[in-house]
Amino acid sequence: MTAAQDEAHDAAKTASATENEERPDLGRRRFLRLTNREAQPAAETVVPESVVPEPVDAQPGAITNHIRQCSRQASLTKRSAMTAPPFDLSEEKLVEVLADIAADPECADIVSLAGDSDHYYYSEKHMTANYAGILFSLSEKNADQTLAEAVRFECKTYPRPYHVAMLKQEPYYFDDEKISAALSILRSSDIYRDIKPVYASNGELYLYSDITMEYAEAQGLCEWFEVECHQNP
Amino acid sequence: MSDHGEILRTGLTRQEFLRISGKGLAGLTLAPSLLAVLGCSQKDVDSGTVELTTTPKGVLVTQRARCTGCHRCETACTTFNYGSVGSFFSRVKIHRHYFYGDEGAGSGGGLYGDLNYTADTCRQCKHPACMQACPIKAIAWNEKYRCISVDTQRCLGCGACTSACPWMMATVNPVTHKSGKCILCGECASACPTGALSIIEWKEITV
Amino acid sequence: MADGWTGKILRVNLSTGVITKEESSKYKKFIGGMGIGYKIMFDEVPPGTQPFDEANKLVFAVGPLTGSGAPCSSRVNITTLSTFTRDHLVVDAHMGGFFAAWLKYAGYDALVIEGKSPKPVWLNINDDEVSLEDAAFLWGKGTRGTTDELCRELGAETCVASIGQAGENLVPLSGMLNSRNHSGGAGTGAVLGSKKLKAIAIRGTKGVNVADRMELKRLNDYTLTQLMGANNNHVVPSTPQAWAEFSDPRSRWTARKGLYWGAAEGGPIETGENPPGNQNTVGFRTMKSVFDLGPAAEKHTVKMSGCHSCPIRCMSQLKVPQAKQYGTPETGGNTCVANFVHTTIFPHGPKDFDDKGDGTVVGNLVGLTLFDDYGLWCNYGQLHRDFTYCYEHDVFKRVLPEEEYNSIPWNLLEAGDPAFIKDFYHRLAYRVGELSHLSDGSYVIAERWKLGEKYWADPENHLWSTRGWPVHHANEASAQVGSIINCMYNRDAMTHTHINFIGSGLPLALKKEVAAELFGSADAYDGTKDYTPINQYKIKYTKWAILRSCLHDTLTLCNWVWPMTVSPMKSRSYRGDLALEAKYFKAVTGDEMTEEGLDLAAERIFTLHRAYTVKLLNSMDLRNDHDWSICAWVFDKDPDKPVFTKGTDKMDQADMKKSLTMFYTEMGWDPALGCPTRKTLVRLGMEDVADDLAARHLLPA
Repeated sequence: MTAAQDEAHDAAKTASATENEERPDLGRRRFLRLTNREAQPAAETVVPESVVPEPVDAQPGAITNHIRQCSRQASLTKRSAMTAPPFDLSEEKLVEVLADIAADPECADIVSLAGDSDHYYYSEKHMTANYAGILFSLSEKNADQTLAEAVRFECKTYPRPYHVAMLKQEPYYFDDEKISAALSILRSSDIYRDIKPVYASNGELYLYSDITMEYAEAQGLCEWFEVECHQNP
Repeated sequence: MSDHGEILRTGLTRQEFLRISGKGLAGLTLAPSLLAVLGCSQKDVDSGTVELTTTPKGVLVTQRARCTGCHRCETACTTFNYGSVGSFFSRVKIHRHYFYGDEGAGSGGGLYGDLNYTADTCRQCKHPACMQACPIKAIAWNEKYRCISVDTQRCLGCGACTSACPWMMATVNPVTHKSGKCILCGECASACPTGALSIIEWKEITV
Repeated sequence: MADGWTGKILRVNLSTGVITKEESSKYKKFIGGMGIGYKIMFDEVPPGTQPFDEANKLVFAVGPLTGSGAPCSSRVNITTLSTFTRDHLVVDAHMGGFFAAWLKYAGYDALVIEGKSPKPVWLNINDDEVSLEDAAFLWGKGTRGTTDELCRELGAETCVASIGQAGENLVPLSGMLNSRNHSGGAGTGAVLGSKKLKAIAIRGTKGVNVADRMELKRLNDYTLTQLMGANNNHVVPSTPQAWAEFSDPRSRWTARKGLYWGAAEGGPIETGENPPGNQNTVGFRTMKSVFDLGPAAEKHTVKMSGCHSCPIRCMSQLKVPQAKQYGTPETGGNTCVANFVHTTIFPHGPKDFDDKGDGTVVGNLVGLTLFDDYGLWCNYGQLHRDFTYCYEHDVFKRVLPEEEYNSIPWNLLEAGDPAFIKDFYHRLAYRVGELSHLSDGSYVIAERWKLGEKYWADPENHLWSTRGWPVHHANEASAQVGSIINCMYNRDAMTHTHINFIGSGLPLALKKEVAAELFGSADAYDGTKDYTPINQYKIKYTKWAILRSCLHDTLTLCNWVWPMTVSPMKSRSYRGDLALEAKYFKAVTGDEMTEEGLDLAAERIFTLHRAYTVKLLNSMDLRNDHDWSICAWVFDKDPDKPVFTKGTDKMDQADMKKSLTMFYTEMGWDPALGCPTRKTLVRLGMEDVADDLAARHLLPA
């Protein structure tokens, strides 16, 4: 009756349909593609203080280790950070280092995300694409865009309506003011007309995208999460 | 081992370490790098909730605030050492402290009290009372385990070692009638689901 | 039975005082736990027996994996006759903690309690030495005081299971407690009380022999690093975390940066991020204190704990100084319903003390400590829902004598004061007044207080069966799957196989893939509140869910964590390992075993439960006389939403009838009546059961 998997489970098993859908195109994310890009203006580092390494020789190994360490600490590494202390790479040197990394099969875990203001790197050994996507959005986009992305992602993936209070938690850490400002833009802007509010009977606000979810489903599910789940522990 | 340079700079050698840990650590300020190696904070040390037991192989760190009483240390110990899983004859002991605390019934500790209990095991004493008490000298230095252990081939199961040990660590298995005590296999620590038990090898502490 | 099993069953006759030991090997095809429980009850407790009769028995049974160090294996299955549901049919209680492992370490696969003692006694099990002792000095004490007394006499390592005043006073909703807050409910406390057996104290110094210790160690490492998630085997964290591809705010994997055991000795301990692969952090994953009681519980959490050998620490351990003003200890905790149900009776919520939301923490610690000390049992929260229903519908005003009604401190209830809980539980445990009949169970109060159709039909009241039990992962959990499961037992269903899978936190598409692999089609699995009519794959899913829970209560393993249907590992494509039980079985017992072999044993055990229900009820027509007692709200809820549309989990009567027919057929039972056939009983090796039923004209032609 059952088709159980053994521990000899093939790790390379084809990724699920969901994974394929939700993952950015690998070819576009790869480090390799970014080495010819123009230098970005220096920006403040997103690396927490605790993981800023000692000044180092900017060898590819040092850079990739730094990216991996940042990923373990749940942050993206900005390209601009590499031309700032402690790395202080010249643009020419950076291009060279990035090319070296790109050519090195041992650095295949290093992934980049191209934004308008900067480029971001992470190691997929230590950070998932979904999480990197949230951090990317937090760096590159407004709160309303970030929220809309989260709503659409959850409605499509799980599917479930999005609990707005989750924005107060990691990795968002939005305060009430920021949330209400974002909600106000969502209500008024045309580009967010798919995003709709729905309330559980305890008054908790959820949002859903009517591209992938109907009102009845969103309403039923938010009532389940907020009220009925507690009654059926 | 350059990471541990600061320990050396503080002048803390293995001998030094043995001396202070024997007395307990409360009241001592430890170098941050040593704390990092031991996986605890100065606050833990100050509050006396961390116990360090020096053994020939390394330091057994017991952080009782992290212990949730699952007894997986005992099941791992007895699985490995006996192929018979139990509690009473386990060489690491959490159950005796679990319900009523480290000081026993009436002390206000344990599950029925302050919710704290410490996993305990052989101290690997320099002058082991168990070894001296054994009438047939079945407890002796074992080169393979690099500690004092019970020769189960010869043990008669008389229990003199249990009575002699101030902590009643050596325990006669009621089924095999052989005594046993910790041989520093480390199974308990590797099975602990909250890292309340860990063994830090000497090479991690001194250069 | 050299490995895994101890080979011995302990039988204690309280009428005669005779204590005997017998071989457990004769029950080998029933494996242990629930299997031994049903077989002994079927063979020895005849129809017509009432729960408090001398002829009723309690079978405490463990299995080959109990105490073996297999994760979550300290569970004992307790089988007896129901005290609180219609016709007093067979039920099981499932008790965690330390009792199960200690019964095994003392050398027993099962303990059968029979007869009735003329005076209060307690049972003293010290390995091979077993005796009945005078319990006069314990009678009238709570479970805590009883345990204290016995441990003072026998030593701090003794594991005690005890009834409280509720059991002594034959309160139908009562249970027993071991290791402070680990309960076995379902009325077993009152059955023990009727037999005047106050407590069972166990000192067990032996071990469970293991056939292949290296394989057992390997399986433990494998399970903890690759398969196990958090409580209910939720495999994604509750917040987005860098290592995790998915998250779910309702996940019981609550560990995250910034969430602390706030009252830990020596300072807060961060639960932190615990990616799979490291078994030394698994125990931090589930922080039920905050999950059940809200963020105010964080600063009161000393640590988590739970059962022997379980790496998932689901039991809150709180320190709440405010509790002392109600005369209860400041430390304690529980898990599941008993952890948070106590303050649900307050119409305006519990009153706060020092922080916003801490009323829930204080009120529940006071409540659970008293509740467990009295040895009351909440029937999965139904006791408290019934209280709320009767209060809101002025039932108490109607049925209580005026003097009694006026003696109840309703003002404290309105104020959300824990002092009300104290007063309320005292009345229940000592059977004070008419109000105390609330703990007779729903079936009895519905009759006694003439609550009528609307009581059963109230969707807020969550009753599943008019035989007197509530929903337990029913229509809201995979629709027909949960619904069929909730029809099958004689109490609330103790099956979690399906809800663990549903709540795992993985995306719908992934769960559908897994369902397709397990049950033959992705159509087996519907998203929550997006249900479709019955199909054959859902029937296979139902059968699997029930059989796994029977298997776990037999081996014994905890069905609140097992089975490992899914895994937190992306590298495994989140696939779990459903042959794991068989692998453990082989490693521990040395007997060759496959997943299919254990499934078959579970089918035998579940079918025996069905056969015994037929026998006790004296009816073959379990469809009409038993299963079709579903409360009307299940079909009538959400009147504005048609059945099988998005947003509702209401069910359809015709579809449900069809579902039962399909399920009976899948089980090899009579498709019209829902009772086991000779053919099926013979296929499962139970000719004797078939003969017994045939002699009673209870076998379909």
